Amino acid sequence: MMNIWDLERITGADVATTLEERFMGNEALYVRFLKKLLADANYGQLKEALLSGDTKGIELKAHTLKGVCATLGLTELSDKFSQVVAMVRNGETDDAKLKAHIEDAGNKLRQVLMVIQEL
Amino acid sequence: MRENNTNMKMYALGTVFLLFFIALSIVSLNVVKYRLFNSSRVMGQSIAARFIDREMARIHTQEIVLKSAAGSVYEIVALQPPEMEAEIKMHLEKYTRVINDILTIGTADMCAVVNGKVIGGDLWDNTERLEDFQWYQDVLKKEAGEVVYTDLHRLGLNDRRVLTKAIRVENSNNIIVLNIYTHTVERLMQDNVLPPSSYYYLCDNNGNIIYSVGNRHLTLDALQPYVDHIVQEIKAGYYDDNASNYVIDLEGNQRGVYYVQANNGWVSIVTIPYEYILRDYQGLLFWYVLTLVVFVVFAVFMYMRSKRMTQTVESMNEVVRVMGNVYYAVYRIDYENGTYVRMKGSDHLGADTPEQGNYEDILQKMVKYVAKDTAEEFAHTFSLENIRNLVKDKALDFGGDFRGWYGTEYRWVNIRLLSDAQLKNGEVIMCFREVETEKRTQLEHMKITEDALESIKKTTESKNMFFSSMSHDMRTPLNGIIGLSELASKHIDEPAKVEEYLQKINNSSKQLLSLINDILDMSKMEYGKLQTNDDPFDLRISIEDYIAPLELQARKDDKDFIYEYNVEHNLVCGDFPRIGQILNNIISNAIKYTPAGGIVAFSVKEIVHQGTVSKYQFTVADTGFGMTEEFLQKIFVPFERDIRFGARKAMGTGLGMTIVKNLVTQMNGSIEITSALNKGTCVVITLPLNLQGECNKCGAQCKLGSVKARAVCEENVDMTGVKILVAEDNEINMEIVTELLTMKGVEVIQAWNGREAVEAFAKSAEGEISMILMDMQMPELDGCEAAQAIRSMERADAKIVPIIAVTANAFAEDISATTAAGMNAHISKPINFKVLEKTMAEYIVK
Repeated sequence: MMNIWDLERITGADVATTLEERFMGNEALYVRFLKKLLADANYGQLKEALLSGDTKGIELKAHTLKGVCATLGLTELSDKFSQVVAMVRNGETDDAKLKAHIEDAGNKLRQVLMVIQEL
Repeated sequence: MRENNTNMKMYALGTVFLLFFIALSIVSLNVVKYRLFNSSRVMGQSIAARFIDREMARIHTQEIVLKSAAGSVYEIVALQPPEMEAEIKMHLEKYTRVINDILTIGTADMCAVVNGKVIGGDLWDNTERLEDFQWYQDVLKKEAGEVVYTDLHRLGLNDRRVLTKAIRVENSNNIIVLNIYTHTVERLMQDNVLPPSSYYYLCDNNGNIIYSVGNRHLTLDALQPYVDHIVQEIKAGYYDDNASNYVIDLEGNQRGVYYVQANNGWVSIVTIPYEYILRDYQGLLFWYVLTLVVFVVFAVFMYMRSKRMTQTVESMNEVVRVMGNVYYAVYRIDYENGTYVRMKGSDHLGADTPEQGNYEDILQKMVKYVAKDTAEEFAHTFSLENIRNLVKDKALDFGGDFRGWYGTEYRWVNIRLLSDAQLKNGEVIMCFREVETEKRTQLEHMKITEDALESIKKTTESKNMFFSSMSHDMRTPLNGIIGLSELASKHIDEPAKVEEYLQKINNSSKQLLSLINDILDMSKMEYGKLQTNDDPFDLRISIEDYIAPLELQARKDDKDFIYEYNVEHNLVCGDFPRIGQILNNIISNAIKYTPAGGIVAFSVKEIVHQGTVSKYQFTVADTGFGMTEEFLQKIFVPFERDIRFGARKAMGTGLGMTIVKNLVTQMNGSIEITSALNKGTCVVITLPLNLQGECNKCGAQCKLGSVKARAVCEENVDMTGVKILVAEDNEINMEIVTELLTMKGVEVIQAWNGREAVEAFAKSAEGEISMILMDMQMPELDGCEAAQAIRSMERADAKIVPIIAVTANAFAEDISATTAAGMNAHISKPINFKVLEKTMAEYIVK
């Protein structure tokens, strides 16, 4: 079993601030919402949009993920999706580069999800 | 000085009198003495005359006896009896006895020389030859029956003093001799008395003492030199010159000498002691001296007494002079005759005023020097008539203060009118004293007292006003609660309405509660019982949480809110709820009194860091209406409100700034306010706060502590029953917001995009939704579009429902876009729930 401070230690998440500011110090509530991330479909949908070349879809899903991650204090992850959003908005829809960024974010996400699973 | 001169004169006169008296006495005494001496001379001479007369008479008797004896001897010799010698002797003894009977001055001894033979003469030892005696020769040559006298001479072996008288018997050379042996006489005849201690001497032509009376058991020989001296002086005429001339006797006493010289050349001398002559004089002198001594003692006593009295008077005069110096001018006024005499203060009415004169004239002069406003009253009060009335009413000390002209300025002068039983009838004393300083002090004190009274009056008034406005303010929500609860009970079957009424009742109750809280705070402060806690907190977080809703409100009112934070030490200990109360008061005032389009700037700075304490400066500046200087001075006075803005809706309890000032003071801080009308106000609050010691190093633990502290303070925010529309496309975010708000008792209406949000608001009852939380980036309609749509709806709450933007990027253009869309405030994303809660509390309560 891990606790949320392990999440901060392992993934660099800003647990303290998030717990205080967004969950009113309610750790159980925080954990409950972190677990929701395990069942979240947004990353799958982002991959689908990437494969189908739906740039609008990529932007929307990345933006959503950015917001969710920020809310949950997963700062690093949030920044990665934020970069994706920025690339799409700047028209940098070059396949390989965008894909690499999305994969990189996905790897980080998986790492985080592994920790969350243990909570 | 005048008194001194008078005294000197008196003493001199006294001395002259005394000397005169003494001189007169001496003259009188001398006259008396002279008279006494004269009368004593008369007496002495008469005594001397009497003595010599008696002696002459005795001599005459002796002559007769001697003649008789001569006759008897003649007859006996003629008869030639056989016992002739014995018969003669017997006869002589008979005659001797006769003489001795009358003779007191000596002893008589008779003898006869018959036929050359001496018969009788017991006392004569016949050692000398008869022929050797001059008197023997003389008597033989004389006619029979003629007596021959001798001066005093010495006779016999004893060389005794003797006076010899001899007579020749008829028809023969037979002689009868009478020898008188003189001596001092002890006892005198009754009719020939001497004054006491007086002596008498009878001397012959040569000054030999024949006999003396009243001698001192001295022999005549012993006395002879003394008497020789006297006789010598007599012959020189010394005792005739002056009746008071004297001789010093053998005992050394003074004696008056009086004498008479008889025809045969004998001198009769009486000496009377001065002691006796002047016996009355001594008494007189004694009484005189006694009187003199008594007189002198009395005079000295009088002098001392008078001197002491003079000293007392002098010291009294000094006191009076000193007291008089208090007054710069003193007048003696005869109000019966209308005249005055000036005792002091020659030039206070100008140099040309006379020493004395008509009172009316001087009064007119005085009036000229009195300040115009009181001149008339002065003239009336000190008119002769009024003075008369005052004296009649027995006003012994009357007067007052007025302002008199002192050449360059008016000064306060005290005038007194004194009347006294000691003064002459119809007179009063008028005196002037400058009392500028006293008066000024007095006036200042009066002003202070008046001010204090005025301020008490004001406090009471404002307290009364406060209570009346307070009771009005309290009555409004209370009436609401009563009316609404009545309505609710009438509509008990309609849950929706009941709920609405209960909601309104709740709002009214909260309003009431805040009012009461303010009053309680206020009264706690008045009794100094307000306590401040000392809990740890993060200054930055606390401040930013606290000002978020204020910022929202500022933006809602179309005012720019600038926030700066420049602090190194954030973790401090103190009572943040109280600090928040202070900041809330100041900032909301700044917002309230700044017109739309104005700026409110709030900055926090750490100005001093020292050990475990830092000083923080909170500055709130605005470009608002500002305050008048007048109001600025009483801004901390309870119940004061700047009435220029009375018409505005925003009216507090009038206690805000008072509470702020008290709180700041209690936290050992200071507050300074500067303000310019129509330019703005700047409030600077400086507070010292203790740092959280070691806490800076311990990270998470401290943050937890801080979280805990904040949780405690935020439990107060009660949002039960509030309905909020949340527009959010992110599922998780929506869930989190919904979850947390629901936990707070808030009912959340979910909208997944802008269009849904607009629809949800349109569907809601008027006033049902208390607030809209609007995400900016949403599909269908974004936040700004949705906000604009809601604001443009034709319903009462469309314009006033608070819309809070939730935005990920707090760029200036984004924020101005939210303002343009009619949104009240914005919070950053991800949502800080504390900030959200504050903002909600701010907007929902309002």
